[in-house]
Amino acid sequence: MSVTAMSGPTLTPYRNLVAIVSLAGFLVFAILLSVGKGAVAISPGAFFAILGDAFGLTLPWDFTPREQSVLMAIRLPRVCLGILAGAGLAIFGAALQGLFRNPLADPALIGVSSGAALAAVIVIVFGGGIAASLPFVPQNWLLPLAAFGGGLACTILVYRIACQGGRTDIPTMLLCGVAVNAIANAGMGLMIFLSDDQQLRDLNFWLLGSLGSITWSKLLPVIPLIGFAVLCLPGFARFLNAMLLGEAEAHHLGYDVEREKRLVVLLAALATGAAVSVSGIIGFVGLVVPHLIRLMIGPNHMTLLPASAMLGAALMLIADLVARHIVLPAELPIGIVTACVGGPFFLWLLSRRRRGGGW
Amino acid sequence: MLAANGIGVSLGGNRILMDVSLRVEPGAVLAVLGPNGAGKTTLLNVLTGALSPDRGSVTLSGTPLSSWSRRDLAQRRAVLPQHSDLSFPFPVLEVVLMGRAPHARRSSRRQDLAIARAALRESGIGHLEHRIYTTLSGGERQRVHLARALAQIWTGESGACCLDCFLLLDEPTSSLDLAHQHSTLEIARRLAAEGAGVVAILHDLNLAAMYADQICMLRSGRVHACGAPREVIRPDSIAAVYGVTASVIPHPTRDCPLVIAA
Repeated sequence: MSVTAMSGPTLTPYRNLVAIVSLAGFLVFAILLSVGKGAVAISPGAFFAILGDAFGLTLPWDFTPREQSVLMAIRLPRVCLGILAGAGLAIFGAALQGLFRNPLADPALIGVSSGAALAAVIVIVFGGGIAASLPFVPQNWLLPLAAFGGGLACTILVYRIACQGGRTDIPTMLLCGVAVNAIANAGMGLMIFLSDDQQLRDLNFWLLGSLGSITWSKLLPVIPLIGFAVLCLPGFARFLNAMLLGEAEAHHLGYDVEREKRLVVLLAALATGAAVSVSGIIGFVGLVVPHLIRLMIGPNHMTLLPASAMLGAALMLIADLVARHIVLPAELPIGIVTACVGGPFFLWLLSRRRRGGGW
Repeated sequence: MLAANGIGVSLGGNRILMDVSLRVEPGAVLAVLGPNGAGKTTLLNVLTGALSPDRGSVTLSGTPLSSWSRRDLAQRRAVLPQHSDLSFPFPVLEVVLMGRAPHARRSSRRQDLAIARAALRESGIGHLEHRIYTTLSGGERQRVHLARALAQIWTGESGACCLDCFLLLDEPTSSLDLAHQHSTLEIARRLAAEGAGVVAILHDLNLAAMYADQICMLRSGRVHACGAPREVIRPDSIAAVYGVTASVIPHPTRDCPLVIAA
């Protein structure tokens, strides 16, 4: 009880504005840090000058061709991916927690990420055959779309089993995630068994999550998919608030509950599937970020959703920075970094809940 | 006017409601009584539009509920649930503001805030505005939801209820102490005086007799008796519906019957 009382925000619009502006500032800071640090250091001035150059503007800062090629070919796609994946996973986590009416729903925990990854892995191993049978789907779209399908199927499965009669049974939801993860892991194990050496290296990346080895052409289909979901989900903020009261209450407040629920699940699976297809399974972002935002500015989805997207993007960039630098000259998979922070956080959440009181 | 005509509902092969008809006029409080399993909650679900009856229809202002848009309907009738499992730490004012959802884009933020605060004061918990919902007691939470339901159907900043609006209460007194039970039903009465219609599912015969204009007694899915408290609260109907022998005497201070279990 005392924890929630202590964290009670008084929620004036002024306070929300300060929080949103500081989060935006933090995101900009994370972007500048992320593009600047590395084997080739790039100053913020050079970063803006190179960006300006790409749009035909001349800015009063110097940069070398080497800086330019490193930024445009390596750093910038990686930073864009970090922003998209972080925002997508965090906003999906927040929306999913609203839908399930409890804050333990995380795309990776309840098996949505591994479902998406399994579908993506199947495409990697049998990619040639699948691509040949679907000639109308562009090659680089196949992976994100498959991951979207896998994620969607798992979300619906978990929701069907865990939510009965308009109530979510939290233990059932988490156990459901354990089962889905086990099935998906078995499937991925089978795919590893069937794969050749090159495929094996690609597969490894799914299992641990990484923002490395991204190219503009892989990133291109992901931008509209995640962008669309991230821009649309805040439109469901009032509905998700009403859902926290209960499904019957949301109905009494005039919402077409079934329709809105389906749309949220669809958008959320779109964001996760697309994020997983390019970055693999990165756990706990969708769990930790919305919770931090709730502690800062409260659980109202009107602010929670956009704020989660911003903090998710910023924290993903910081985590990637850690992953890139902690074992130089090698690189740690980012999934390990997020799990090291997120796992203990999850345990803390559970222990706090056991002591009683709300979330 | 909210009217149910010949409602029949079967759930899982069991006939829950059979040929139930009742009507609530604006300005009146209707209490629905009956033992557990008589179909009270199912009837309330039909009246809210959450459940479509197999037979019969419910009309609001003469139009069947199924022909109302969800949003227009939500602006005209609010429901106070028996209990709500909100487990996120919202400030009380924000919970009440959720009641304004059906008015989104038709009502300004300033107006929503004024109405939410007026509804909190009306529910007697104006001082809890900044408290966190999850830290409140059960009774206080129930009043927050009452304020939310009031905010949903209020129109003016002064706290005037819209005409021909309806408030449906599902056992509103179940988690309240004696003083709060009475003040909740007094709020329902005041709302009725302003022109709203109120339907309340109640368990306490004496509360119903004191506050309701009309009482509808359900017994195994049928209306056993419907009418003014004096006509319905009688030893024979109590024996028939509840299987309990009771004496009914005039209330010593109010103009209503008083039930004493014999």
